[in-house]
Amino acid sequence: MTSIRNRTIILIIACLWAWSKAPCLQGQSLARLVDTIQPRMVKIFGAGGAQRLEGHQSGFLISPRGHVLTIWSYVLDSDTVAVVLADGQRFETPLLGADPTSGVAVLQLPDSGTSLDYFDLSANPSPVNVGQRILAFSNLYRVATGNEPVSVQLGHISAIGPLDARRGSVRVPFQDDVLFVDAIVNNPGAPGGAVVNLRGELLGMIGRELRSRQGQTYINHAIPIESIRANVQAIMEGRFVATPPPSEYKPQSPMRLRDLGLVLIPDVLAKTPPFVDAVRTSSQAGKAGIQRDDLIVLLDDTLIPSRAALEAALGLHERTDTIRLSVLRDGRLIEFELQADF
Amino acid sequence: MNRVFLASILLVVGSHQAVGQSEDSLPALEERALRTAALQVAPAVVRIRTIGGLEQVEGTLVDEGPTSGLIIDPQGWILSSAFGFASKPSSIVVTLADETRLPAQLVATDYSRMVVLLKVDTDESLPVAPMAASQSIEVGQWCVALGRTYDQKQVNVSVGIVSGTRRMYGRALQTDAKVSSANYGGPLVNIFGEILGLLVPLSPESDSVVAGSDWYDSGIGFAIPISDLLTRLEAMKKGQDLYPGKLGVALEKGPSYSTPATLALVVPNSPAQAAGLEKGDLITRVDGAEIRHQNDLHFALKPKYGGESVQMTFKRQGNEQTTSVELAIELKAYDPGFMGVLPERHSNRDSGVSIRHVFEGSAADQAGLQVGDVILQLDGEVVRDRVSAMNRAFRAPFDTELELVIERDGEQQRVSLVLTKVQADLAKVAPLVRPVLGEQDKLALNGKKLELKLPEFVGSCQVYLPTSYRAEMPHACIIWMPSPDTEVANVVEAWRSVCDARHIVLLVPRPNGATWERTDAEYLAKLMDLARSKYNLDASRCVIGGATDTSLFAFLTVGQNRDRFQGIVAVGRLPRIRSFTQFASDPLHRLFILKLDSTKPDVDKADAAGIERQFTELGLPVTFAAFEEDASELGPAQYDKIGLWIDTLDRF
Repeated sequence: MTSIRNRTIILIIACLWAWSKAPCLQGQSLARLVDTIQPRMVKIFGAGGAQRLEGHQSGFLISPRGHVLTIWSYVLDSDTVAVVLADGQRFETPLLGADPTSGVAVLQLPDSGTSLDYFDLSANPSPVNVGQRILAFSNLYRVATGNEPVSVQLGHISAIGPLDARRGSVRVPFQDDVLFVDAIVNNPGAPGGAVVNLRGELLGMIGRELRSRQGQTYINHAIPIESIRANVQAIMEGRFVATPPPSEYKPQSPMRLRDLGLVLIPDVLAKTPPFVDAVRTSSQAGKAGIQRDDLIVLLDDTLIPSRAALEAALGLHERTDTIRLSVLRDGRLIEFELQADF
Repeated sequence: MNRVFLASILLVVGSHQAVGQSEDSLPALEERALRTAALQVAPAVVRIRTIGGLEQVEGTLVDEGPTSGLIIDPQGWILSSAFGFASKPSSIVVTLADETRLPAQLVATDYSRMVVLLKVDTDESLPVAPMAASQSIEVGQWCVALGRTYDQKQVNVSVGIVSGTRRMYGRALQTDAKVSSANYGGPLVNIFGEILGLLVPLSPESDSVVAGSDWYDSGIGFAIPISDLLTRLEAMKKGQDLYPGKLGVALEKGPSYSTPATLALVVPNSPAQAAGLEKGDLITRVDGAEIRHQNDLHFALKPKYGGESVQMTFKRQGNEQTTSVELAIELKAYDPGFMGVLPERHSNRDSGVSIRHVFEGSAADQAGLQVGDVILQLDGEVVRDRVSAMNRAFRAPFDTELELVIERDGEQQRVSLVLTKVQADLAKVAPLVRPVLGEQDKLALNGKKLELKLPEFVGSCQVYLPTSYRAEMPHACIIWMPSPDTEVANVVEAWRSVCDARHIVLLVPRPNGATWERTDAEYLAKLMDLARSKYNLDASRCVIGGATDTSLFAFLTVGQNRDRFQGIVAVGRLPRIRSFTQFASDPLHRLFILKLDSTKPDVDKADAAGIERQFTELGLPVTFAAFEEDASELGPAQYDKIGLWIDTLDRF
């Protein structure tokens, strides 16, 4: 009897334990996930704080010895940059190094003697997918001070792609794909924050506030850790050599309209539509079948709104390149693959 | 038994893993389900580029980036948001999920739901996604907003919940997924991969195509239920544009949730008038549904289209009746007729009104009417006085024939004429002979500084009574709103001679706050009421105006108080009118506009012409007067012009 009762008790306890792990109650492990991440987050204060330039941003620890990864910005452009840890400890922290191309910076805290909780950059996270759920940690709007934990936002990966953006009127030099998220991380104080997946793996760092060149809308994005890992590790090991960001690509021998054998209607308007006026029959364009009155609408995948835009887009190609030109003729879209004649 | 027991323990324990989100945790399962749902619908989501068209629409720069669309029919019909086509592009290129590029035609636009229908030519059957049943939509359920504007190969995704249904007066679903130009025109889908609706920007404040786009990524986004769009798809396929249905009434002022739906105004020539509705009717039911207050009426009518009929039940003097109303696509302004005479303002006669001036080239001129003729009858009705003649004449629309009985040199004659449009051009009107009336009044008020003060308002108002003021004669009145930095004394000085010459009473109010605000409209209306109670003012010639930006407040005030003002003087720009019912020409409430322009070349001439045209379409006569280039202030010549214009406001 006793053994049956004992077994029953053990079985009940096991069932209760299993029930506690049931999906509906595992929602609480999101809270546990947050608890694991918060000790790694830091709040950074520096230059700024006047005329709508925020003097604060976010960052996170990436080594047990106190390396902090954050966004390279004017906030760090101060003699005294203060980093406040999750437990409220405050340190004056010099800049160790920065990579202007990716726009990230590494700070190093003075040796405090204690081992700090950190994101291990050498770990390989699971692949990132569109639609994946993420948590974003940052001190947006400077809500947290002292030992208060930073803010957490829930979101999803909206898209992965190139950052076609502008900051003011300056084009951003970062060329790799970024993670677009639907959590609103484009906020003062958020850049430098951490984006993690539901396993607590670091996926990216919240990028600086930017506006889309096309949509006139603010962009919520994070720089993938994959893209910056190597340079960051080089900075930490003291062997990083900063290279200036790549300037606007200029081909050695840029392609021009006449290389293709095309004459467009005269450029008299602010945005003259690129109608073909004449085609040199002996040219590739002529032989391929481009005709007078065709309207050029696409060069490769770029939309061509005007003649000037076409000339500019062609100018980014070498004369030797093969290009795809799409034209509109009588309501039909026709694509041509062309090369320049020599 | 032991083995079974041990096995069951191991089974229970081993089937769960430790901290962190296991693959079977709820968040992980949701994530997989939502991603699968997005992938299921993705083949029906297309990327759209537009070429050419306007760069600016209503002051906002047009979005140059790609927009999204949803294939709704395998034969090549695609729905998208009207926002992406606000620029009226010359060419449209659609790229399918498999990267096929096709040119598209814009076939029809739904201006109520802000949705467009495109057509591409295709030999192959295009993929469509399943639609959710409209009854299955529940607030709180997961949903995903899809677009194809970042990357051609993948849809971009934002996850949220359904926040509300029947939003924007019954037209849209509301979601907290991030809705922006990144996914306008794309679908909102549920966790099963079924389409709930089409994402569009909407705003409660404006009906324009770009309205609502400033709420992007805000946590409030809208989608038109797909089931609604399908009911009108056949009509749109035929190229039929759809417009919100208009009734043609104005409701009583008051909070819309507690004020009953009583008609304050029925616009002439409107569907409401055609159906027999009258001012004072209380709407109780629309298509059988109870109307408890004004908001219920908005909810009942806003989703309807022009051309649709509704059954309106209303109460009039205790009796309930029902009538069928066919809503219109647009309301036509009433076009009043014009004879071409200016009446005497003061006479000793018992009946009839004497002609003071005949406008050159007018119907009256051509019919041979002369100064001094007395109009005894208009259209069969006896004319009691100037005001009754004006009202009677104004109620006859233009291009109708009018019969008059006049008296000339003691003899009566019959005159017939055909009314023309109201003459707005006063260039040919010579300075009119002003009536001089009897002995100069010993009234000590003339020419003195007086003040009007309303106890419930902070602002004060200076009054100037002309030296020619006579208590027996009705005087025109003008409320002139100075710019905040102008001295009131200077304003009065500038107006003095015109007021004296033209018998105009001048009111120069100061705003209640630092500058003029919307709330001052009520103040100005009450000011006019107070002035009319104290002085003999002509009820047909109360005017309001202001220099430069104060003109806007003049329009605001008049829009809410059509019964108190008959003229607006605007210096510079005329504003865009948002409320047709407030400003439409109304036989019972005449309104004339005088626009003073600097002769400096106007940069935005096309825009200005459009705004002026809207006034003509409203049936409001606009008179133009110029002042010298570089003059920032009005000079004596302009005040003279205003004075002349005010003198002619009782013309009919």
